[in-house]
Order: sequence, then structure tokens, then C-alpha cells
Amino acid sequence: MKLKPSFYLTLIILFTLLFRLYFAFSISGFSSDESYFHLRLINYIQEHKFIMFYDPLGYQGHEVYYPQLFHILMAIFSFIPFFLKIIPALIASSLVIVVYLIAKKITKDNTSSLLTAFLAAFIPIEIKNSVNQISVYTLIIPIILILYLSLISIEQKKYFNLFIILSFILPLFHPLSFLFIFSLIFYFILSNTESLFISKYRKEIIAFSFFLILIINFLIYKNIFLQYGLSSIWQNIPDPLFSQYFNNINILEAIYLMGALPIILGSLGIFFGLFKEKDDSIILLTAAILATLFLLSIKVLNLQIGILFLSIFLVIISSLSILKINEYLKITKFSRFKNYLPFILILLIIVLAFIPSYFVAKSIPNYKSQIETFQWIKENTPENSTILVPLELGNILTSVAERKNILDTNFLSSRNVEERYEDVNTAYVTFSKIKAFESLRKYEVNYIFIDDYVKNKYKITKLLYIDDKCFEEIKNDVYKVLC
Amino acid sequence: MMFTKSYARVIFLIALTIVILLLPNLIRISGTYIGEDPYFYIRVADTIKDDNIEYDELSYSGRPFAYSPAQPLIFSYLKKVLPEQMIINIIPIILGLISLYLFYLILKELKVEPNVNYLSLIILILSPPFIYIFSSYNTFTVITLIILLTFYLLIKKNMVSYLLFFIIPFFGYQYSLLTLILALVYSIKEKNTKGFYIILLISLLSLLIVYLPSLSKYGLSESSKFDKALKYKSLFSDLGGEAGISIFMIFLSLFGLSYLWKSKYKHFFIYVTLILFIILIFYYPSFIIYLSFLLSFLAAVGMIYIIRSKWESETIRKLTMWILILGLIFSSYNFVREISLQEPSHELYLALNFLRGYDSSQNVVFSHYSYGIFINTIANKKNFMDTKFLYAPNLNKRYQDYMTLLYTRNADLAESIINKYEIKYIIITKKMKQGLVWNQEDEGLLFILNTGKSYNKIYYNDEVEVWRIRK
Repeated sequence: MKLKPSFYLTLIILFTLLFRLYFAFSISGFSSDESYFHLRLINYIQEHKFIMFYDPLGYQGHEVYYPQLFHILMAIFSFIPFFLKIIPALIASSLVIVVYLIAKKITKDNTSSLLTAFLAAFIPIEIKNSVNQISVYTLIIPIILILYLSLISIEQKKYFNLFIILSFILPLFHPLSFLFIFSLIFYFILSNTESLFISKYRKEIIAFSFFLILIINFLIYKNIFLQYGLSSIWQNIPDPLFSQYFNNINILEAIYLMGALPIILGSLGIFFGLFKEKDDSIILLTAAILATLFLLSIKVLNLQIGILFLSIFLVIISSLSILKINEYLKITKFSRFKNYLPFILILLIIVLAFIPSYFVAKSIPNYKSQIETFQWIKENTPENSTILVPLELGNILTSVAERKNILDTNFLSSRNVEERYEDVNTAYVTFSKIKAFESLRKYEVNYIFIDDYVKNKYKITKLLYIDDKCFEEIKNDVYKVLC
Repeated sequence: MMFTKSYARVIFLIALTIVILLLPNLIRISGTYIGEDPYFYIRVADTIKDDNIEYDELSYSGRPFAYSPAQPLIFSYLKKVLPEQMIINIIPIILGLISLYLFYLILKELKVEPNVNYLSLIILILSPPFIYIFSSYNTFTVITLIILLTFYLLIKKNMVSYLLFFIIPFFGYQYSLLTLILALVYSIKEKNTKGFYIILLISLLSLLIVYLPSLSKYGLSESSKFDKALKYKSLFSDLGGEAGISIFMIFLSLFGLSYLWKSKYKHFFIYVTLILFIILIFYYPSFIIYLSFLLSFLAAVGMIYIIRSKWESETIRKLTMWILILGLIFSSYNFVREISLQEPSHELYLALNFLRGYDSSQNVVFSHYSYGIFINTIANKKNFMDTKFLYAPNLNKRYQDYMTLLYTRNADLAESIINKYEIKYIIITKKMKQGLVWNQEDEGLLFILNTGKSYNKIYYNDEVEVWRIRK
């Protein structure tokens, strides 16, 4: 009995889902600071039945300009036990289906599509950014891919409707909808340079989608645009942090996180699809790669997220290479080995994608000790207190301890971000009590949090200005500011 | 004509214009006039009334009266016959309606199809620059109407247009430059370069009459070295520009251009005008206001193109068109809201009014230079700086001292600047504390005011603090 492709696909989905759930349930909290920002928004919606416009804790109080459709959806699923662990894992696993469908469109071959789907299930950078995390990207990526899928098959009514609906929904999830707009622009450019015909119908729908996404983004971010103008696209990220974002990953690490297979097979796929066959789907996906690279080059996109998108697009394009290798093998002396090709590729995926993904998943951060301390802070400090924590723990603090921070990763609507960033750094590394108090008093800091993570981050063993007169160690890792 | 389609269109346009132009004042909470221009003209009109048109005692603590003479004279004349509020809030709406009619006539003379003409007018009414020009009396209100009238009469080959070309430099040399360039394009199009030479001669003669006295007396004005970067921020209203154009208008215009491009070089002069406008805007960003007239025509062509062209999907065609229309309305709505929040706020007005009553002498008040004109008019005090840079005394040096005083935490240095310019009062606003000048509570001058013994806070409300300097 020959098994259907859907059987193998289900198997892959189950495998990736179990993989994700295993790691998600092996840690009690979540594995990113950003998850706790989303957690707060979801909890707020659950509690108030409305989205959050003003955050009284982050930056000691600031406006929230963040599309919250994702959080509404998550709040709807709150009746499911462990929904914040299960739903993100389910959504992330759905990536496999979308990749399979696109690969099938490109190759019209089940084996190549299934192998591509398997490859998509274990992309190290994707695992790093989604396992045990509440991340809007887990939902954004499948939506963008479905938009591409719909665009490839736009002549069919169901895909047409899907495209319209998702074009409307996408900007309600995340400003990354601009990536989609840019990819459409690059698609036009690439098609023109390759003298490829884009049907009038497709041009029309692209124009529509372009304007729709643009107007929704303008509606959501109108205040930000009016306040900061064009510079708002750089999200108000402090300069030192900006360079840090782009210097943190070296080339080897980037290759490791993207996976060697997608890079090799994806590049081959671009070669075949763009230059040899002038395949429309490959041109669209290459345009998406160019848009990602463009946004990375102008530093609009965070490097990690940029690599994440690049690897996913490359994985999909890999499907064409897999097909071509298979076809090529048939006409060579090695054609008798053609039946072994899927197994060789599976083996390669296991070695070059699954194993790195496993190690990446194993090393995802665990904030258990910080969470315990923050829970203690919640129970033992006055409600209106401001706690000094580094940027990377800002959201965890506001979410778990429900106390004010000086800064967190929501830079967009916050004033003096750069100054706050410098002040927090100064408060941790300075040996001068005067300088430290300048920063602490400016933000009326009541408590200082310093654990091994903080010490490691700032390369310090203790706060050098601490004395018994002005500071009291009320708990291991927590000092109360007395003066 | 009653109850015909064209009659209904006229009524709709008039009603739409009145409603849109009234909105900023209607939703304005502070009850003050919008922006600094009305206050500037109120004061300058009074100066003219006193026949003291040689010297302005309040701006920059005293400077030559070297403003373009036309706007203050017109305001002064209007003030003799009409109440101040009517000149500032009602007359611009009337001038807006006349300008709209002139724009309609120009398009009609240029053989623009009636539907495109009608849509151009609607798009123009909704455009932020039009709302900016005609919702309150400002620098552009009268000159826009005059430029439109000039071109209408030029197209009609009416000799009065020459008189208007003579008058335009009295509003500012930049308007003369703009009209000359547009007249040149039109003359080439009409193959009437001789006519252009007459216009050029008239304009040059007028420019000499207006600017030669100032040039011979004061030489060339010192150009500001500090506001170059600021200028380009104002091109798009959606990105915070004071009178910028809407991004959605640009998109519609692109549709219009792509339609016109089908007949290639037939519309060559439109492309040339567009390119010239773009070049001019690099030097005079405020000309974006006049580009909106051309763009409203192109956007209307674009919209008609979308409406009439055969799309593969009728649903997508309709949806795209509605998105673009919504985009235009969204930009207008945003702009109306923004303009209604322009300074002076009620709190600033109260603070300045307090200062007027507190001290009857015209002492020097230091604040952000965007408040300079309000300080002159509402508080009747000398300002340290304002936004009228042309022929401002020692402009760049003054600006350098201004920046030093704002950002220094050295009390002696601050005191030396205060003494040098005889500053008596300092006005600090919430906006200044929240990004306009500073970002933190104890930055620069704020630190000095809070710690120094020579400074006394004599007034404060939710938005404004007034400090007096003890001597």
C-alpha cells in the first residue's frame, strides 16, 4: 500500500509539534523577554476585554503603539489549558503545511515538497525565535507565506479571497507587513528586468494590496509618523543598541542558524528558477529575499529576524533544487540510486538541520531565577516602585513583578530611549556613587536588581558604589535604595 | 440652472470648502488664532498704523523693518474696515473659495475635461496645503489667490496680469521666482517668449523697487545656517509636515502620470512643470503648497483613470479606488486635527497675557524661537529670536548664543549671555521639556533655573512656566 503525501506531512507536523512542546514544557516560564510583553498584552485583553493603549509600567508609563490582533486571538484561546505553550507551538508547526503547499506549487512533485516541508520544520533560527516563546513572528511568517501562495495562484477564486482577507489582516498583526509591500515592489522590478510578463490581474491585486497595507499602517501608526516622521521606521532604537543588534551575529553563526542546506539548495534554486527557467514563483520568492536584504541593509529589520525570513524563503526555493537534483540524477549513470535520494536528503536534514535545531532549542534561555525574584519583588515591594533592571529583563519585570522599569524593548513610543539606555548602563557599571545616584534619582529608582545574568552582561562582580548607608540588600540579588 | 447636476456640484464644492476650512477653528480648544502668522500681522499692522515702518522694536529685541510689505499692508488695510477675528478666520475662507474658482477657471481654460476639473477641485479642497492656506490668515493666503489670478489672466491674455506680476514681488522674492518659472514654461508652451520677456522685465523692475532699498541699506541678509535640516521634514503632512502634501495624493498622481504617459510627449509641459517644482522645493520647501495644485489635477486624472479603465477584477478596482479616497480623507482628517492643535495653546496665551500685565515695559523674553512672535504680540515684549530670519540682526551668532543658553549648565556662562542680551524673563513650556529643546528634567538651562538663586518663577500653569531674572 502506497502511503499518501498527507500522511507524511502529518507525520512531519506531529514530529515538529512534539519537538516544540517537549522544549516548551521543559521550562516553566517563557524563553524570551519579548514573550512577557505579549503575555502582558494578552492578560490585559483577557482582564479588560479591550486592547492596551497605555502601559503604566514600561518606561514608568508610556503609550502603546502596537497592533494587538495577535493578542486578541491568543486571548480568545485562553480557555485551553496551557494555551500560551500549546497555541504558539501549533502555529509554528503550521509553517510546515504552508511551505509544503508552496513547494508543491513550484515543483508539482510530492517528494520534493515533503522534503522541503521537513527541512522547514527544523530551521535553527526559527526554532531559536519560536520555541517556548510567545512571538508574533510565529503567526506573521505563515501569513506572509500564504499571501505569496495566494499570489502565485491568484487566478483561483479561493486564493483571491484569501489574498484580500490576509492583506487586510497582516498589518493588524505587525509592522512587518512593510516587508511584504517591499517584496511586491522588488517583484515588479525583477519581472521587468527579466522581461517577464505579469498579468494585469496580478498587477491590479498587487496595487490593491500595496495601498491597503499602507493605509492600515498609517492608521495604526499615525501618531508615531506625525511625531517622528520617516525616522519612525527605525523604531527609535538607541544607537548603541542598533550597532549591537547588527554586530552580535558573525557569518559562521548566521550560516549555522540558517542551516547549510537552505543556503546551498536555496542558492541553487534561485539559479535555476531565476536565470534558467524564469519561474514566476521563484522570482516572487527572490523578490522577498531582496526585500529582506534591503530592509536589513537600511537597518529597518533586526538581523535575527532578517536571517529568519531569509532562511525560510531559501528553504522554500530549495524545493526546486531538490526536484532538479532528482531529475538530473535520473539522466546520469547514478540513476539506479535515485530511490535513495530522499533518504540521503533526510539524513542530511537530520544532520544539518535537526541536530543544530535540537542544540539551539536546548540552549534557549530560562528565566526561572529572575522570575522567582520578580515574584518576590511583587509580594514585598510597594506597588508604585521603580526597579532598575537591564533592558533585556524590562518586560519580564513589568509582567511578573508588575513594577515600573526604566526601559524595555518597546522603544517606539518612548522618549529619551538612548539616554535611559545609557543611564541604566551607568547605574550598573559606574564606580562613582555620585554618577550612580544621578541616574537612580533621575528615575526615582527604589530597588536595584543584580543577579548573575546582570553581572555577566556588564562584566562586573558587584555594584561598586554600594554601601550600607544608602543601600540595603533586602534579598539576594535585590538592593533597596535608601538615600 | 437650479437643480441641475452642475448646480448641485457647485453647491457641494462651496459647502465642502466652507466645512473643511471651518473645521480647524471649530475643533480648536484653545480659542486663540491658529499659528504665529495672525499674531505677526496683528502686531505689524499696528506698527504700520503708527507709521513706524523703519524699525521693529520687538522682534530680535529690535531689528530693521525689512519684511515683505504687501501682506502687512493688506492686513492693515483690512483691519481698518473689518473686525480682526473676521480677517483672520473668515476672510481666508472667502479667499479660498475665490481661489478655488480661479483654479477651476484655469483648468477650464487649459481644456481640462469637466469631470477631471471637478475632481481636481475636490482633491484640492481635501489637500492639507489648501486647508493650511485658507483656514486661517497666513503668509500664503493672499499671495496664493494673486498667483492664481495672475495665471488666469495670463492665459486669458489680459494685460492686468502684467500688473499682477509687478505686484507679486511685494509679497516676497520667492513668489516672483516661482511665477517667473511657471510663466516661462507657459510662454514656451504657447510659443510666446516675447510675452515672457515683458513679464521678466516687469518682475525685475518690481524686485528692484522692493529690494534695492533694503539691499543698499543693509546689504544681503545673513542666511541661517541652522534650519536647513528642518526644512525637508515638512514635505508630507502624513509624516508631520506643517503644510505638506498627502502621500495618498502622490499615489493617485502617479496613476495620473502613468495615464498621461500613454500619450507620451503630448503632456510634456506637465512633466517639465512637475520637475521644476521638485527642483524648486529643494530650495524653498514651502513651495510644496503650490505643488499640491498640480498634484490635485494629476490625482484627479489618476482617479478618473481608475474609474474608467477596465480592470480584470471589478472588485479590486473599486476597493483600490476606495482605499485611495479613504487615504485622502484620512490625511485631511489628520491634518485638520494637527492644525487645530497649533500654538499658541490656551496655557501659553494665559502665561503671555500674565506677563503683559505683570510688566508694562518691553523687556526681553527668552524662549524657544517658535514662540518669539507670540511673545511680541501677546506679551508685548521683546523676543530673543523668532522665525523671521530675513535681515535678523547677527542671526547666526544670536542662534549660537541661544543654543548655548539652552544647553549650558554653566551658570556663569548663562549669566553672561543673559546680561549680553538684557534678558529679563524666560519662558519654558512643556513642549520644550518634552523634546522640542530638552529631553530630561535637569538638562541645560532647566538645571540652572532650578538651582540658581537669580531666577524666580513668577507664573506657571500646566503647560508654561515664566521665570524672572533678578538683577
